[in-house]
Amino acid sequence: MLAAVIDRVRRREVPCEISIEAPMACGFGACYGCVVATVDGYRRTCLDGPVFDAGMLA
Amino acid sequence: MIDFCGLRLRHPVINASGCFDALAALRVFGAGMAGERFPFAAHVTKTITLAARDGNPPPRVWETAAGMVNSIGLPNRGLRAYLDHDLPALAALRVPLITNVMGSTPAQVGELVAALDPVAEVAAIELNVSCPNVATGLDIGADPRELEALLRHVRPLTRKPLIVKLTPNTADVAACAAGAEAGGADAVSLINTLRARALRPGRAEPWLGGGNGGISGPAIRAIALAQIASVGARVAIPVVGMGGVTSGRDARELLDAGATLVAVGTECFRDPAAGERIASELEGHFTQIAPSPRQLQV
Repeated sequence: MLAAVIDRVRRREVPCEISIEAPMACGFGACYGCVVATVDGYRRTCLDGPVFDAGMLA
Repeated sequence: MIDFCGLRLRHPVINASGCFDALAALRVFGAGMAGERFPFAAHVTKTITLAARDGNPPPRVWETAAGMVNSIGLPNRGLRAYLDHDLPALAALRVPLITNVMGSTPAQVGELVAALDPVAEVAAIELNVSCPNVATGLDIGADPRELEALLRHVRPLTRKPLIVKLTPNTADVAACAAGAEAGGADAVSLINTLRARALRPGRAEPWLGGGNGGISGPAIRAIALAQIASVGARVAIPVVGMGGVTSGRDARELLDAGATLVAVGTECFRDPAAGERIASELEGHFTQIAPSPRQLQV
């Protein structure tokens, strides 16, 4: 669903932020368990998110 | 104070590699974990490799009834970034620093060890040998002879203590420990995670992006006890015991099984200050959260 939203807002150049949920072990950046793929590589949902710009998500 | 391979430790509880990031903890908890309040008697880093690694595709973790399965894939920025960026910050810790490294060949491991040898901030080096031999597909650490050959290659490259993090995914862990000892290791640490798989709910495919992963947590504590006892009976070098420790009582059992130090891994995710708590429980200074039955009678 989020992928479909990202696709639509990108095509229409609508500003959009996406809140990501990921399985998480530590919650403070120690375990690298909750990463999400972004245009800058994997980013931790707990520290770098959980809200990402839709344009950031790969 | 405890003497471990020449390192002076204020208690026998350290963290397991990859389960506690001192720099992340200091950023988030600040003074609560700085200086004397650092929860562990020594800090073991995540695994450092020569080249940077992105790690495995998500999802990377799965919770089980009494633990978790992970396939993180050793993300790190590589040796150079570790030396230039992480070490200066880690040097602020008041506890000895143990740097964990992994290479896929003896030459790579040798390069890592040689690079760390002159670094004063590094008190000891832990070798992660749970890396597949490209030719055989087996973990280097699963074969006693291959492990001994690896140690013979890297031993002359440093005078710092070398700790070998043994893999439990082998037929005879005590034979592997003996191989490490014969090659010149100063200590062994065990157990690493056991190979495990989680399935995507309702499907027959793996949940983890990396396919298989490793299981840790209280689910593996009984296995850790057996393997530590087996290794302790076989080698003369000290043993760092780990596997599902959540309390002083769990730690006591691993020490009684033959460990000199106890490492805490998965429990750090639930309680980042677990090291200090477990160390104080070990000393018998139990923090009373609820009144004991005796107090209730009075």
